[in-house]
Amino acid sequence: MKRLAFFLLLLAFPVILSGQESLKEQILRIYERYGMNFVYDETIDVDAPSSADISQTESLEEALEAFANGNGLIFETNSKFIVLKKADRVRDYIIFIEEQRDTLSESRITALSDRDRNTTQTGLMKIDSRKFKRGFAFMGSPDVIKTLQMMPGVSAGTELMSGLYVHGGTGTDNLFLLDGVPLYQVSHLAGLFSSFNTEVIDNLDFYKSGFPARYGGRLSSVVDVTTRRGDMYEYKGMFTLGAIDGNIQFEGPIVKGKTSFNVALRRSWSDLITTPALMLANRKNGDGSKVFMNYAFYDGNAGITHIIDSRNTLSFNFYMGRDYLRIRMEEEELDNNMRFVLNWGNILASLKWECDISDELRSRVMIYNSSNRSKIGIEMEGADGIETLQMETANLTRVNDLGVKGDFDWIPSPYHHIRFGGAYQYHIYYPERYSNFITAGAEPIFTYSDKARYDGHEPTVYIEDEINATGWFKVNAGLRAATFSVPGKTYFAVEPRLALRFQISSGISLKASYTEMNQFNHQVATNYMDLPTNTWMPVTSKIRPMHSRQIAGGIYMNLPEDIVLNIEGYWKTMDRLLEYTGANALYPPLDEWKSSFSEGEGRAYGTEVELAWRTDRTDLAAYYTLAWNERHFADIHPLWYPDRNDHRHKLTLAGSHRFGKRLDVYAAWNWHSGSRITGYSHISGEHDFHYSRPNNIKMPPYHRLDIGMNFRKTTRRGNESIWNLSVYNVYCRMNPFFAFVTKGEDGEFIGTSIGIIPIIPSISYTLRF
Amino acid sequence: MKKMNILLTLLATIVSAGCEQEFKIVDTDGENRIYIEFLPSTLSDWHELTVIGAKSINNGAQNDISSYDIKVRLTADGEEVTLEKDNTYRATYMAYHHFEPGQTISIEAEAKGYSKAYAQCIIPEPVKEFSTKVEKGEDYPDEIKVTIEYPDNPETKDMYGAVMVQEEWNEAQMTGFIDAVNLQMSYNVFDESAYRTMTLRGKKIAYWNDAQVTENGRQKITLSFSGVKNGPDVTYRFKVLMLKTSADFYRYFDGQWDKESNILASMGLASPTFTFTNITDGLGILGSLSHTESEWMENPL
Repeated sequence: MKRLAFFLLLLAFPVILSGQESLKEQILRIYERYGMNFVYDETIDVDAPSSADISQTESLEEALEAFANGNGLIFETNSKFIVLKKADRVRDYIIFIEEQRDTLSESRITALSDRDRNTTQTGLMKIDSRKFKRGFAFMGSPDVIKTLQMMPGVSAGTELMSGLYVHGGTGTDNLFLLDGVPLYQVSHLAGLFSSFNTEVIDNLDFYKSGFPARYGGRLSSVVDVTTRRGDMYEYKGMFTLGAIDGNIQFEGPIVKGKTSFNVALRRSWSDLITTPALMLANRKNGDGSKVFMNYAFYDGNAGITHIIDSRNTLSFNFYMGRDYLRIRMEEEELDNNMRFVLNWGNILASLKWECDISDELRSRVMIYNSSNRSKIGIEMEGADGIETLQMETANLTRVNDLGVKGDFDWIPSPYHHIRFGGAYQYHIYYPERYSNFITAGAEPIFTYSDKARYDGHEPTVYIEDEINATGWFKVNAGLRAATFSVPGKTYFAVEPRLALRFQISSGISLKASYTEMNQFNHQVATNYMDLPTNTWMPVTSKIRPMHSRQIAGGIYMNLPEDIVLNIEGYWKTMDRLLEYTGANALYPPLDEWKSSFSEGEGRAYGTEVELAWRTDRTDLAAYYTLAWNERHFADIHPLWYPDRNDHRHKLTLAGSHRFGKRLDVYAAWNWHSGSRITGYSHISGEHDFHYSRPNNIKMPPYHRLDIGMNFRKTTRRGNESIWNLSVYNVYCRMNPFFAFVTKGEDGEFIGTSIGIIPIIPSISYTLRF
Repeated sequence: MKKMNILLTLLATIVSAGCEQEFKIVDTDGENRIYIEFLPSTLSDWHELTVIGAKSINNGAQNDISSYDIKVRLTADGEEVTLEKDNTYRATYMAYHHFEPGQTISIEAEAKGYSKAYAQCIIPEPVKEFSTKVEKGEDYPDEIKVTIEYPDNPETKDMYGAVMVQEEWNEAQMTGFIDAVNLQMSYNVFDESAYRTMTLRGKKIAYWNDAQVTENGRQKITLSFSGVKNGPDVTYRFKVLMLKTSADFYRYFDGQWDKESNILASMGLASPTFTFTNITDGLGILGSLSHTESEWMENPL
């Protein structure tokens, strides 16, 4: 028996060996055996276990093929090094390799993270799935929006919400793309979680400035999220059980090497706790009154990729997310009951065809549908002495985008990389409100119904050329043209885009950019709370598109000892912004909503500093922002005044470290100057209070510390299990959610802030198989 | 349930679960300023002017100057307007002057320890022509609705107002009494009222902007109020005073209305629209309005 076990172990040894070796270890073996340098796409997780067996190979070619095929990669060789990349990456490696020829020959293996420095784009952050998994996790789940909120130049807005206020913008002028499809609602649970499941994210490009011409439609930022294709060769997946949510992901081949799928589902289960808990509490209630509450969210991602041939790939992507909150209150004695409903969600679907038309020209054509729905409603039923009365009232928001777009990537020579394309989007906005007041058994005594429909047609074209004029000077010049047609008006916008890069030395570059952006829709909100039920509306013949201009520039340095130092400044102006000046209603009127809004302008400027030290095991970063953010709305105040998110200083210190294969820890401390509110500034007489200008009072600074750790273990079956312990807001700083000003008994004015988010510990278990 | 109660209930839940912390207030302004309120109009020849020193909360909450320590200069088209102390104590001064549409009104005020404040406005041209129709309302037995139709220039942003004047005539005693009625704002479940109301020298004024202008450049608005049935000896009739207000007048009183009603804005959760002022280096409002009268209309009740 022992001999059999030994024999089996011997047979299995190569498998065990190959299964235990990481990609990096195998690459190093190939290097040691054949002396070839490697350059690999940084989105490849080289620390992950390799699925390839290279022990039996006899030549470099065989080793590379076995390695690449086993791990779903593609390789290219030239005389100096081998390039490893994922099957779907565009071929701009060619340009990069031409630039880095001399530098790369010095290294053994190099990740292509240097590409950030070598692009012309300012304000660009690229985050891949590996960084998400190793970075900040809220309640055990890495979160896209929470990660971006830590970046310099970004304000988070209301505590714990998924607000993203970039370079002085508002929360509604960010373009979120999921596999190229616009996503309107990006948060669950009032912003505690974002709509992006990091288990399916391949990479994320976050632009704060220097927007390439292929992006448009929003003023302040672009968050371009690409999901991962399913593994073409083997089945794998994961599941996570967290404190309030669970996540399962599964991928694999449908036809090996040809067709794959990737599916992920996430659901919260706080309702499994609150529902029975409230039932018990209701039983104890002696007066017969009962409260029931039920909240849950779920979302699902599904993708199918089919490689038609070496030049053509077809992919289908689907996303559905939904939140619902129901509260029911019953009063037995009064025979009253009330039900409150709040739900919102998105559905996205897209079909994409990618084609390598030739060695120089690549295309991507896509059709898609993006749908956003929300509803807030109340139903009441009660006795009024004589009759039973019923009241039902609801507000629905619906947006539908149907679109088709084509993007082309043309590299006619090493000196030009031309991108061009066009798109057509058909937007349909159809909000609705209704209200019925009925007596039992009789006709409705009050009925109100209002519907509106707004259609918008938005064709766009763009072209950009990244010109590698010399090895040290590169320019990306582009132009985007868009029209937006609504009844009675067609708006036409031309948006120049220019980005320059001067490579001073191999590790230092200077960049500058100029961009103009237009936004043809608005989220019409009567308050600042980023409610998911806020209504999206297009421009009208009277409400013009919002417009921004931004100049950015900086110096970007890769210093010795793996230190990165980037210093970037920006100046941004915004005009035709909208601010609610209506009659304090929950919702603006559907047909004449523009009458409740005033037009104004904004400006934001500042400097961002990023200092980081990044090695294989350790990632330490400090981000500092010094910024001003101002507004001018003549209907509110004749002079410029600070925006409520005018955070003069922002500092983030973040770090993560991997202690071997079993333990990694992370921590992040965020600090920023307090948000602003409007409070009394002057007093005349005893009781007459006045306000000198909007947002004149600064709330206390915001700061919190988050920590977490992952305990990793390989199970007996060779799977990876991870226990995550994390604490949000370690020292329980009750940061202000809102504040107000009152006059004390001694005549002094006091500010009082209300904080609602305490320390939140959490635990989760993940198994990767 | 009223429309705001949904949000306020949620907020109340949040507040009750939250923690309060006090913090020191430091207004970034910090200078003492003069508050001015002056609303010249063509409605009458006497106008109330209020000036008062407003101390910054940074400098303590005591007022150490009297209104009469503030030097005020009021001009109309450059000519100084005489000011007299207001013996009713409703305002600081009374300005006796007949203002005409198109006149430029300027005011300056200064006092020791306070920033010098000044403002300027133009009396707007009145609404040239408008039509009115008065009828019985549908919702209540004593409701009267008045519909006003008037031309509007869609290229400009215009603000309007109206006062409903009621005459009570007692045939037996041969006496009459004229006063402004109490105009009522209407609320539907979701809809905002087309106009707001404010009180100016005891008169209820409805005011609105021209955002609802129709394609052909004419606008309609309907005001409602509670009327009284004609009695055997007492009859009522009505007249509309159609107003054209300056933009600043509208913005200021719109903001004051929000100050009283917009709970979310006072907590920093909505636009702070109550901060409007057109007094340079000061606080308050210099707003103006002109008027046009309709013919008397019979009581529909």
